[in-house]
Parts: sequence; structure tokens; C-alpha cells
Amino acid sequence: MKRALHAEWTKLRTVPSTGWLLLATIVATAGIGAAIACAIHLPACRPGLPCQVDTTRIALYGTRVGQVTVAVLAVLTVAGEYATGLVHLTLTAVPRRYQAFAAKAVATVIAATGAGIAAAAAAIAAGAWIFAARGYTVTRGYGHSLTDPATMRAAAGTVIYFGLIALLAAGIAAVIRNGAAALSAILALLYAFPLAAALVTDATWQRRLHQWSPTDAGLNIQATTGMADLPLRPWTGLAVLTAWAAAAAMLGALVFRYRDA
Amino acid sequence: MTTVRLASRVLHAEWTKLWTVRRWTASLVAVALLSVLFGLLAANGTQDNTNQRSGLIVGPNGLAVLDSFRYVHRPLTGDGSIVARVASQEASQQGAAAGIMVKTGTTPGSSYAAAMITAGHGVQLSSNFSSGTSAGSGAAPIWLRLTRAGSLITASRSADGLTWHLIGTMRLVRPPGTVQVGLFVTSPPKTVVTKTLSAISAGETATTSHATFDHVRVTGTTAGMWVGQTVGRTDVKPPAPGSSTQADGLFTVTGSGAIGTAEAPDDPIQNSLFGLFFGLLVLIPVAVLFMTSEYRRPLILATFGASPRRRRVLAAKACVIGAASFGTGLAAALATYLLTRPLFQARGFQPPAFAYTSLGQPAVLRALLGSALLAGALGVLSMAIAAMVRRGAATVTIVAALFVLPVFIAAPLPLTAARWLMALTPTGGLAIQRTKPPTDTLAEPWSMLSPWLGLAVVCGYATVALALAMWRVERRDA
Repeated sequence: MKRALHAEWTKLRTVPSTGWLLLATIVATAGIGAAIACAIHLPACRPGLPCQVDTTRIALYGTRVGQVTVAVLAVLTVAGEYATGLVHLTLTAVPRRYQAFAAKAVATVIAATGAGIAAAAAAIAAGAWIFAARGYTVTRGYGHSLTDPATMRAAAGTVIYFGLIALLAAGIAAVIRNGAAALSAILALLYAFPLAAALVTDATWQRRLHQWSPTDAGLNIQATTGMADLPLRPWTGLAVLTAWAAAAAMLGALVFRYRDA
Repeated sequence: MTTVRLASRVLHAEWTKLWTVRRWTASLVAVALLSVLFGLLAANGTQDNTNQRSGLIVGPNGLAVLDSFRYVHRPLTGDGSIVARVASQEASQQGAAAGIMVKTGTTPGSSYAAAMITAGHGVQLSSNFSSGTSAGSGAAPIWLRLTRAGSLITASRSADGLTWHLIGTMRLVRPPGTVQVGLFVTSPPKTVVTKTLSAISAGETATTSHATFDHVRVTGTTAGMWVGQTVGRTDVKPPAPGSSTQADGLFTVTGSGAIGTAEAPDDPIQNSLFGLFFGLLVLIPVAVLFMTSEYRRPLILATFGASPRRRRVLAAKACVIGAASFGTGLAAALATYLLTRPLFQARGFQPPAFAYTSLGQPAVLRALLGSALLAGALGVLSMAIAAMVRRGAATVTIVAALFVLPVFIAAPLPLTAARWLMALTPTGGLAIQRTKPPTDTLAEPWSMLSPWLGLAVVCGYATVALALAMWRVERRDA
């Protein structure tokens, strides 16, 4: 397994697109968050009173955009080999298919998590700096300090979130194999739920869709205030995404194992 | 062989390629099914109770209207006329109006005909809560006259009270023998839209405007004194009561409120047609693969070998995928509209709060055909980008970044920034699905754009991408 992982890691590392995609993840996540932090109008908050404005979550809003390039990376790693025929060579070198797929998935998750660390740190730092510069400071009742447990949970959760999205995407790519089709399916899964929730006005169904959606459920981990209004508790939400990712990965592994390459 | 026959051959070849790949035709069917399914979801999961609200004012055409203003009036029995000079108007608020009116009664929602000067829109005529028609520029002081002959009201304007110019005719709906004629002042509430990360809300503040009138004269059978009255009421806080005084033939009138349609910004047709968005998520990869699969297998060499004019091949591909996307989009939009209309009506989307929308109405036709054009443009855009990029996953990423991500990026942005984002990305094309006037108050950011602007943006993207692809394909090895 160690050698298979090393092989996959080398492939991933030496393809120029990997670096660009991970850089794009970091830039998109932090950049979108910073742009929104610059533009958004926040309602008045007072120190000592509970404030509904979640500055940390706003700073991390770019995750919804940055996850796309993580999904692309996973699709290229898993489905890309089918387009070039490289998959035959991979499977000759690593005949144990579960192992070959696991190596691919783990390598992608590691890369995504690494980019996630940089992205979350940059987004939170940029957001904190911009909000402070605009006068929305912690002392005036906005957000939490960078060392607050809630901020730490949001940061750590975002890193895990990127890893889980990579795993989810790797699983789906193993099932669909065609890059364009796989990526479309992944994007539909990531973005259709919140849009469908916007379509229905029935509150119960809206809440359900937010709870079932891999993105909406998973992103609850970024909340630092207003916990009572969340569709799911932060870690419960991340557990929903974990279930999605695990199901996709298992399905992907099965297809990878039993279907001809 | 003639050019036309050559072109039709290439076209036929590309058409055959699309239709004979069973996975793609099945996907196109899925596009239509998904669109209709999500349209039904939108219709099923919604409920509107505007019609149950107390204090709903219904106009003569059976639709909800706004009817609140300050009215200084006296009765007129039979035929006659009212003349007044608007001496001054304080044009404090955009849309504020001062003028003369013939109204069948002082009950809110009753039929009326009015001539007025407005803040920013010159002289206007308005009757029965339809939108006003312009009667030229002008400001106070100005003379206005309304003459009644049965249900026919004739409006005239004059600079000096001597030379009159006819500016239009209007009709009252079933007027009684005695109607009310008089002076009126309106000033619509100011709407402030506030947007936070998760919600958008519109608050209204009442405004007032005042005007002075002199040389007021009523000819015909009239009786009693001038009565100053605030017609209707608004739910706007704080209330801004009107007032009126009269001294030596000079009337000073202060009014608040608005006269016009009270259409809710919610647009059931737009909501159900948005189901197409989910179908487009399937259409995009089909359009992309239609191009990239040529490069994946060296089929492109055969294609270009068979017809060496590469631009013609690309144009044929654009025509085929554009037509297929358009047709799929049109079928989906039409089916969605027909299937969801009874559902919406059963869920409260009916008069008086919501007008009946028939297929023949220009706005409905625009939304349906526009949805199909949006699908066609997006198909061409995806294919053209694929022709440049050649890699399927990369193309899908680019199209998603252009079309899907702006929906999410615009959500937390302030209104101005969100409007710009919509005007600069193909996502703005969704504006064509709206049948009502643009509004800032909905969560869907593309509702802020005018429908044609939205469609122009997405068609512009498709055209530019196709032009770039044509330029590239000649200059690069296949």
C-alpha cells in the first residue's frame, strides 16, 4: 500500500495541473471570502450581547467556490487515467484494485487537505483583517478572536471539509470515469440541493434539503454563532458529508474493483 | 458541388453524430425531464396567502391595486368638467404626483381617470390602475382639465388657461350618475431593501409631498362644499396622514401613498421555469462531450478530412447543438408551464393578488421562448469553450464557473455588486424567465436585470466564445 501510495503521490505531484488547481483552491476560497468581507453590509452589534453576524463564516464563504477545483483534481486523478489508457499500466503495476483505488483516493485527499489548510488559514486571516479594518472588531461585538474554540472548529472543519469533498469526488469519478460527465455529476450533487431548497417555500422541506445536502450540511461546521438556527449541529453536519463521501468512495471502490478498466 | 450543398452535408453529418449516440439523446430527454420535475417541485412546495390578507384592495379589473392618496373633491352629477392650475409641486419623492381626478367614488379600488404632473416624468395620464401614459414634459405651474361625457373622460393641458391641447381620452368603468371630481396628491413610499448573508428584506417608509392648486373650477351639476379626505390607507409605518387647506381659492394639499397595481414581486412562472437550471447541469456535459469526444478519439482527423473547412465544421456543430438545446429547452419550458399552472392556481396564485397568465401574453411567451434561447446559448457556449480547451473536465469547470458559481457568489453580495455580477456573467440570462418587472426584493439575484439584458449577456458570451473558437480552430493542429 505504501508503495502504491507513493506512486500515486508522485503522479499527482509531477503533473503541472495539480499545483495550479491547489493554488486556485486557495486563491478562490480566500479571495471570494475577502471580496465579500470588503463588500458586505453588517447590521449593528453590541459588545456583550449575542450577535447574529457570523464574520468567520462570511470569511470562509469562498469554500463553496474553492471546492470546485478540489473536485476537478479528484476527477483528473481518478478518471483522467481512463482517457489516456494509463489506467492499464497502473493496474499492471498495482494489480490489487482496492489498493490502487485507495492509493488514488488517499493521495487526492492529502493534497486537498493540504490546500485546505492554506485556504482556511488565508481566508480566516484575510477576513479578520478586513473586518477589523472596516470597524467590525471583536471588541465591538463582531465575531470571535482567532484563538477562540469556535474559530478553531470552523478552521479545522473547513480543512476536513475539503478532504471529504475530494473523497466524494474521487468516488463518483471512479463510477462515471468520463471526466466531463463525472465532474458535472459532482457539481450537480454539490450545488443542486441548496438551489432546490431555494425553490421550495415549505419550511420543513427546506430544512430537510439543507440537512441532506452534502455541502449545506457539511458547511454547518463553519458556524460560530446562531447555533440554534442551524439546520444541523456543526459536527453532525460534517458527519452527513462524511456519510456521503464514504458511500461514494465505497461505491467507487466496488466499481473500480469489479468493472473492466 | 455548391456551397449550400456542402454546408448541408456537414450539417447533416454533425446532426447524425449527435442523434446516433444513444447516451446523448437519452441525456437530452433527461434535461427536459429534470427541468419539468424541478418545476413541479417548485410549484408543489409553495403556498401564497396574499389573497387571504385583510385590506386587499381590488381594482375594477379584478386585480389587487394600491389606492391611497389625499383627495379634495366634490360631487359631479351627469356630464361636466373640472379645471385647475397646479401652481406648485414639491417633487420630494420619485413618483410623487399632483393633479386632478374623476373617480366613481371614494371607496379604494373604484374606477378613476386622472391627469397629473409627476416628479421626474412630466405630465401623465392614468386610469383604472394601469401604468400611466406620458402626455409630454411639463412642470408646475400648469393648467389641467378633465371633461366627462358619460363614461368617456377627455384630458387637456394648457399653459395659460386659454389655449387648450387635447392630451388623451380615458374611460371610467360603469360610472354611476354622480361621480367625484377634485384635486389629488400622492407620494409613494420609499422602499429600502436590506440584504444579509442569508436573507433579503424590503422595508417601506412613508413619504409625503405637497402641492398648491388655484383657478379651480367645476362646471356642471355640482353640490356642497369641497371635502378633503385621505382615501385608502397604507400599512406603511410610520403613517403619514395627508392634509388639505383652502383659502381665497388657493388649495394646499399634502398627500402620501400611491395609485397603481399592487403586484407581488413573486413570479410563479419564473419559479417553475427555474427548474431548467437543473436540466442545464446535464445539458452542459452533453454539449461539451459533443465537441471533446472528437478529440479524445482521433475522430476529429476524419471529420476535418471529410470537410477540410474547419470553420464550417464548427459552425455546423454550433447549429446542431444550439438547435438541439433550444428544442429541448422549449419542450421543457412549455411542459413546465402547462403542468404547473393549475398547481400554482390551487396554491393561491390567482386573482386578485396574481393575474391569470395565459400562453398568449407577451411576457409569458418571452419567458418560455427565452428559456429555450438560454438553453441554446448555453449549449453553444459550452461547445465553443470545449473546442478551445479540448479537455472535458476543464471545459465543465469553466462553464460551471461562469454559469453556476455566480449564483452562489452573488448571494451574500450587496445589491449593486450582485447586479453587476449578474450583468457580467451568463447567469444573468436567467432574467429572461421572469414575466414581471425587475425587482431588487427577491433572493434570485438575476431578478434585478431586465429580461432582454440578461438574454443579451448569455448570447453575447456564446457569440464571442464561438468566434474565438473559429479563430483558434484554423490556427491550431487538430
